[in-house]
Parts: sequence; C-alpha cells; structure tokens
Amino acid sequence: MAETILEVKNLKINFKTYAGLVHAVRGVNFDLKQGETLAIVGESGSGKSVTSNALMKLIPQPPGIYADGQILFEGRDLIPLTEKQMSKIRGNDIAMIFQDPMTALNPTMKVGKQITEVILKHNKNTSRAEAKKRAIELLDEVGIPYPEQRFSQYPHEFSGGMRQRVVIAIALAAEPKLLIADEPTTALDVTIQAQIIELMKKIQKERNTSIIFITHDLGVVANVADRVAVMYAGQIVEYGTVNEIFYNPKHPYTWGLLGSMPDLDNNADELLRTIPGSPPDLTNPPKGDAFAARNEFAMQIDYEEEPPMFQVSPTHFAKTWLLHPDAPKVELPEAVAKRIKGYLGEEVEQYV
Amino acid sequence: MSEKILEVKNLQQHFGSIRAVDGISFDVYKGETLGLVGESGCGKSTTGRSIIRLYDITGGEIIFKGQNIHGKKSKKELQQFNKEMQMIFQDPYASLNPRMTAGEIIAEGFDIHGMHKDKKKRKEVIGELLEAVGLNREHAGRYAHEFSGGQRQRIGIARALSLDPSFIIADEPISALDVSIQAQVVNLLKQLQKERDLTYLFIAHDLSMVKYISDRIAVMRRGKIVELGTAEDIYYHPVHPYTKSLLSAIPLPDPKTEATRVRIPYEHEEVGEGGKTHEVFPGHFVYGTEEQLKRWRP
Repeated sequence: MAETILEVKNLKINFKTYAGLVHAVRGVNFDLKQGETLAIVGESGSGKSVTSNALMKLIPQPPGIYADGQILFEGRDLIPLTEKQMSKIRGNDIAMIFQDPMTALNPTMKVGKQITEVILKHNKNTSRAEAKKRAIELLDEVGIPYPEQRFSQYPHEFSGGMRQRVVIAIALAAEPKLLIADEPTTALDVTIQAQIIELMKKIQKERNTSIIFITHDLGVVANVADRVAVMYAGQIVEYGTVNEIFYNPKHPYTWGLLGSMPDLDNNADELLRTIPGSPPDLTNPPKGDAFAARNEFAMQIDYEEEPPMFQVSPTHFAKTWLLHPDAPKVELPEAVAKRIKGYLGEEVEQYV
Repeated sequence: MSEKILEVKNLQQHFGSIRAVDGISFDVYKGETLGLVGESGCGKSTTGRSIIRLYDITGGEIIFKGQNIHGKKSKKELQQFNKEMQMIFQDPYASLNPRMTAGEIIAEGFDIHGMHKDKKKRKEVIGELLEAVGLNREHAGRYAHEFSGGQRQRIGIARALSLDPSFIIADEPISALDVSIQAQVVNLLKQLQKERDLTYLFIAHDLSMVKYISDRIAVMRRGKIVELGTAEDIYYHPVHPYTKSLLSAIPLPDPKTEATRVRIPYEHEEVGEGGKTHEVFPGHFVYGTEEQLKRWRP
C-alpha cells in the first residue's frame, strides 16, 4: 500500500458575509495516497473549490474562517502555519492548476520568465542559465512544440490548450508531490481536454505525483480518478473507488448526477432524469439531510436528523439514511441501473 | 420529410481577413432540431448570429419560410421576421437586464410589437409563459439576481417564447449550467418543442447532449461544415476524420470504457480547390475531395 500523503479531517470553513455566516465546507474528511488521483465532484456551491483552495491555504481571512479540522500534509497540520511557512510549501510541495489558463498567467511577462521565476525561487543554488534550460525541458515535456522559440513568447501568443500546458509546466517546475487541479479542462474544447488529461496522467506516472482533480464532469472523473468524493452542500455525501461510485452508487444524489447525463445510447424519446429544485442556501443549512428537499426517496428522519457516513465496503461510504438497516429497501432508479448494465454487460456481477 | 423552414446557401461571414464562416449550406426542416457542433472558433455561433440578422452577411443567402432575410426589407417584414425567429443565449447571467423584473424582460417584445396592450391581459400572458417554463406567476415581479442560473435560463426561454416564434436558435443554452440543471433545461426545451411545434438550431460543443437533443447534426471546423447527417449517422457511421476524432475525445461516465479509451488524433488535411460536399449516403454529407472521400470511407 502506498504511503498516505494527505489527510483532511473534519474540515469546516465559513465565510462572513452581509447576509450572514455561510457554512461553505461542513466537516469534510478524506485522504490521498502517493501516486493516487482523487476526483472531487460537485456542482457550483457544493464547496469543492473552497476545499481545494483551503488545502493551499488560499482562503482569504477575513472573510474566510477555518472553523474546525485539520489538513495533514505528510503528517503536518497546515492550518496553524504562518503565511511565510506556507509559501515554502506552495509550489514546492503542493501546486495548483486553475480553470482559466489566461487569468493564471501574467499577460505582461514572457512565459519562459514565468517558469524560470518558479524554478529560481524554489532552488536557491540554480543559475539563470540552468533555470532556462530546465524551463525549456519542461515546455517540451508538456508537449509544446518549438520550446526554445516559445520560451520567449507572451501568453496571448498561445492558444487556450497551449496556455494550459504552460500553466501545468509552471505547476511542475518545483516538482510538487501533490497537484491540485481545479476544473483544469472545463474551459477547453473536448479534443484539447483529452490531450491535457493524457498529459497529466503521463506526468503522474513518471513522477508518482498525487493529484486532486476537481470537476463537475462525470466523464472526466471516470477517466482520471482512482477514487471519487461526491460533494453536496459542503459535505462529502459519497466516497469510494471509481468503480464503486459509477457501478454501485448508493447515494440518491449520485444517482441523480449519473441519471442526468445523456448517454450516447439514450433514446431521444425519453426525458432525462433530473434532480428537481436547486441546492440549499448555506447561510442556513437545512436541518437533517441537506439533500432531503430534492430527494424523491426522502423519509421523515431526513428532515430531522443528519445521516452519518454508512460504510458499504472497506473503501466505500455514503451519507444517506437509506443505508440504515431499518430503512425500506430502495432500488436503484431504472435509468441508472439500465445504463450500468449497458456499460458492464455480462460483467455486472464482478463489479457490484 | 416535412417542409424546409430555413435554407442556408453558401453563407459567408468574414471579419477582415478572418473567414469565420466560409461558405456553408444546409437546410432546417420544420419541427426538427438541427445540432451545430464544433470547437471554439469554428464559426458555429457566428452562423447562428448571421441567421438571426445580428450580423450583416458577407455573402450567400439565408432563406426563411421562402424569403431571403438579408435582402431589402420593409419595417413590417422585419418585424414579422423578428417575431418568427428568436434566440436563447449561453450566459443567463449576462443576457438578462439586472434593472428589469422577470415580467418586464419577458414583456419587452410586446411593447416593440404593440401586443397585449391591455394590462390585465398582459399580466395573464406573462403568467402563462412563466408557468410554461416551470416558474411561478409570482416570479414576474422579481429581478434577475433573485434567481438561480437554471431559473434565469428559464426566463431567457420564456422571453424567446413570448412572441410565439416558430424557429429558435439556442446558442450553448446549457453550457453555463450545472449538470443536474442542464437536464432540467434540456427536458424543458424538448417538451416545449412538442407542445408548440418549434424548430430548433441547437449550437453546442457538448456532443453527448447534442446527440440526445438533435435529429440531425452538422459538424463545423474552421468555418466549414465538414459533415452533416442524422444523429445516428454522425455518431455511429462518421466518415470525416475530424468527426471521428471529436467523437473519440468525449469522455463517458463509465470507468471501464475510459480505461481503454483510444483517442484518434486529427491531422488537418488541406482540401483545396477540388473540395466539395458529397452526399455519401442519402442525407449524409461530407466535405472533401474525391480522393479524400475514397480514403475516408470504410
């Protein structure tokens, strides 16, 4: 078993706003092993980006408050660290790739300089010439053609996909152990998205980097993830290996997400399954299960008491009262069951 | 097949030296959904905007219900055209005026076209439209910021429906929305199409959603339609290597398929002078030279 590099324990993050205290992250627990990819899936406002920014201590305080919990990176809690201590970890040990490659790059600085800057900052003994050589190697490594010429160009001279490659090159410059990618391909076209994902996987394989991949695209999750955490209203509601989440989902919200994506074989005459309503307001998180109001299988207890994480397998957990031994047995919605069967065919037994 | 509602003939839209749309032709039939897909910069949005007269076109013809819409038009003819054809935009945050209530946004077209002048009648129509898109009559008095993204897009749809159009251009209507909300909006569009006999031009880059909503699909690349056919033709029997490459890049929510995914990279081939659109199968068109077609066909 690979070594655990990151452990997040009961993380709670609030934001002070004029409308009141927003409980953006409400007790999140997960861990990450070396060389592993964890995908965090959720919709806007689910707390997935706040969680990932928190790992880098990028939550501005105020208005943000680390209300509770620990972020143990290689066993050391990051929350009490000072800004100075954190700046040593950022880039060096943990690096981040953002959604929009244009805003992540400095438009007035040549890309080469933006990469060498990182190399020089993190390796005090490196000369400028060495840093330049390394930067060109990195550009080459992330698949940018003519890296020597590209080194002295500005970001606007690059296409969207090429810019995201530059951002990845910068993130890799200091050889981080953990890479956090927050919707890194959402702004890109599908063919470019596929190339960027292939690139990230290749790099992971070569360097044994751990990756946290934040996305709302379940197709991308199925491609990149070893394990998946599904977030809803600031909490992880289902957590398991990629096969467990896609082939044996237990939480009605996960069912809803899987059902609302059209399948290439969907019959055009049937309507898509939808999750009715919209996510709750986190200034006043609802009592009980936050998903209850949108859950067609909600029971009385869902409106009264928050469900615990029920264990489904040694690696699979779901936060829904439906898993309580006394709960009525609820079948997986037909549309989702049909699709899983369609994907797996005869092998269903093997996965479920 | 039913009658043609829209004919686009050799449409060209150039911005300076950039040929955003470089001579495309296609028909849209009454009651169908034609999906227009392609990657950013391929000219799909420009095509939609040219059809609805947001741009003056560089060349070609656009014929809607038998009339050339870019020819000289009287004010009355233009008003009629504007009623018949409406647009739904991508960004429900940017496309609604923050100073207007939902009711005012929906009713704006009534003022322009001098419709429903009676206050009571107008309120009634607005209420009906709000209900048709799954909102409440009470929502009429609220401002855009009081709605979620999905609700805003519903207001955008209600506005498009207000003048009872027959043709709607939906330009990436769901790409700014969350997954669970996307399905709600797509279902709504499908249901309205049935109830009101609407024809859609559905512009998008999300190929799985396009496949689901479209009867026929046109694939655009660099200002050209490289392939056009029924949704089944395009997905199961693609001919153009670009279409194949695009399809091979769509990630599916299935870890087993994803573990063995092989992406087909696309190598651009110059088409040059000999290029034309071939009908490879009845209703299935591919753009290329004779020689290329021979190579691409299985």
